[in-house]
Amino acid sequence: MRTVLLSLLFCSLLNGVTRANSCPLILDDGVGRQVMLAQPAQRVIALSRGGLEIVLALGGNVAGHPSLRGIALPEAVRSLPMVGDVVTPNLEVLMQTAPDLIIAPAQAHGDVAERLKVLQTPLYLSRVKSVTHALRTIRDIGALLNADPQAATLCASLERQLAEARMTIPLGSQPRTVLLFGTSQSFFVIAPHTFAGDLLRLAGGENVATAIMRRQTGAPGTEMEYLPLSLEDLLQVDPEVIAVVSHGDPELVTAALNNELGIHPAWRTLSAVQQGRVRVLPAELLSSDAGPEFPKALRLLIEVVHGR
Amino acid sequence: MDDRVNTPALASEGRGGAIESPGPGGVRATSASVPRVLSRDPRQWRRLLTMSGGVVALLTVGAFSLCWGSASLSSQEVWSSLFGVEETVATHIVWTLRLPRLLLGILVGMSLALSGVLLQAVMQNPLADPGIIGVSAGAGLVAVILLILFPHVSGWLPAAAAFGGLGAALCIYALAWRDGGVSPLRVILAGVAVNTFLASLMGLLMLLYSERVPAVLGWMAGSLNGRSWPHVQLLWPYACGAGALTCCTARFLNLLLLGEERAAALGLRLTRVRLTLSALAAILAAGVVSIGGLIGFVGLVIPHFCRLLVGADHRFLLPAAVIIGATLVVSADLVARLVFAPLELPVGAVLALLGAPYFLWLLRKEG
Repeated sequence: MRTVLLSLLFCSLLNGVTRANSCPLILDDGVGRQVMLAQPAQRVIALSRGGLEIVLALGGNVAGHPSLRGIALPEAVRSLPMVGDVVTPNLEVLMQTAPDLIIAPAQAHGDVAERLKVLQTPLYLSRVKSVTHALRTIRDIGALLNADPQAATLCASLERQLAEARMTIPLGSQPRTVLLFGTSQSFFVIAPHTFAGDLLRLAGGENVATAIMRRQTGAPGTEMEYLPLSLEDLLQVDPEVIAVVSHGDPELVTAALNNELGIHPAWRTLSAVQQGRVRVLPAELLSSDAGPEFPKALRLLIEVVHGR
Repeated sequence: MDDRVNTPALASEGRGGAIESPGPGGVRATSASVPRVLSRDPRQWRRLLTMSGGVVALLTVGAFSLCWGSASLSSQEVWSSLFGVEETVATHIVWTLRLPRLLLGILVGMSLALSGVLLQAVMQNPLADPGIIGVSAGAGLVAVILLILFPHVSGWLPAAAAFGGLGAALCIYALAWRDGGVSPLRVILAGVAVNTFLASLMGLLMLLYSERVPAVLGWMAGSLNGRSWPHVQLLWPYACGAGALTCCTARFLNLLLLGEERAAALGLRLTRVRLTLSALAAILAAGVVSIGGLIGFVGLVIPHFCRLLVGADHRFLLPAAVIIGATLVVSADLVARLVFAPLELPVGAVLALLGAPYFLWLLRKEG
């Protein structure tokens, strides 16, 4: 312990930070847990798509791949063992692959750390509720892989892409937009304090959920990410754009949804439905398990919100 | 619970002449006997009070559910939305959301309560409800498959859920069929097995596609949010048709309460009656599930509650269940809309929150 502390002090004196090549790496993950590595990670396992893409983009060495149903795996990892996912990790395969770092998303799976405790492998939990969080996750993983320069380059590139995308937003345009998850049979409104909500803000859309929730600031449930709001509220705020995050084929779901909403007596009175501005966005791009592709999500959202 | 729930109670209620003599294929109840029973039965005032009180409560809650909601509208706005000609946002809210939602609440409550009364009599089991014949599990599995794997055809959900529910019910009865008949015990056991199997499949799918689960949650919890006239048009023929037929079956239900042997001795064709009544119950429950998702507890609790108020005679129990069931669902839906507004709770969750403690109280009282 004393050695570790002395090493930390020495590194701090040299670099001003605890992230240094030759000393234990210590940082707080997305949920505030301390992650400590004796040396940079050489065999990494990510339990989600976003984490895997970040590690590969930073040139990290992966020891296995998560099970991604319905999503094509990158060529580089197809021959590696499958280790399950964040909900159902395969502990036996994880033990066999002997990773020195596991990366997993924390949202909605609070007990993942408890489930993986038996492995005694350092675990980094990411929690992405905004683009800032997404960039921070990349930098953190870069530090854990001893790939800070690559992480900095990637973040700079992503920030540039975001800025370029935002340049295309028409001046003064701020259409009232609602982000939905689910189907017309059962829909949830995606809250502003989520990754998708933050992307909508950057895309220049006025999130109507903010106005609805402002009426009840501090009320129970206002911290929820998926809000079961009433259709009555949507009629009152009358969104100009409806963006539906769905796991199905975006074109098929868009066509089906437009048909369905067009004949619904309440939905069809909304400006968005009348003007045909209901679009479906792929859930992979807007999920909080953000990989380095999120500028693409922003470009798509700008297209949808500003009708280009 | 007192003797009103049990078979002897019915026999005592029948003493007044409700069951006159066996007729062809069953037992005939004289229409003239009904007023005689009313005049002699000391509970007649209680029954009248329950029915009229229930209607008043339903009208009151119905008026509130038109006036109160997530959007705040004055009673003047509600009135002019209902009877005026001008089209405003308030008109859309009242006319396309609140009014059809109120009607759906009535149809849902009525259907589930009738389905529960039918099944408890057919199964001769006070714990029977639409879930026991697989309607909920069958519809739930179909909904999970559709919403998780094929979201582009989610518009077919009402029809698919109804078919899933009816299919599971058919499957349970086919499995329980033996030697040319079905016994309630075998239906219950087959129901437990099929329900468990379907629930496991549902759980497996939800685990494999855990990131997509929120898309199903609202439907699974049972909700009337966003339902409008097309849903009323879909549900009312089944609810009213099967409901009207159910109200004509009171004498068969009364005979079933006498026990298998006595009912058969009085000329009741047990298998045919059980299958017909179960089919009615399944149609009523499947209609609800196709529109509102998995709304539980009404079918279980309302028959017990109504028996406490009007007794076990189905001539009074069925109309009481219609009125009280409708009032309960409309009230629960109002609570679901208001308690955390603008967030909206699923009405199924509210009903379970209210229903479970009540049922436990009932059990303790019975014990």
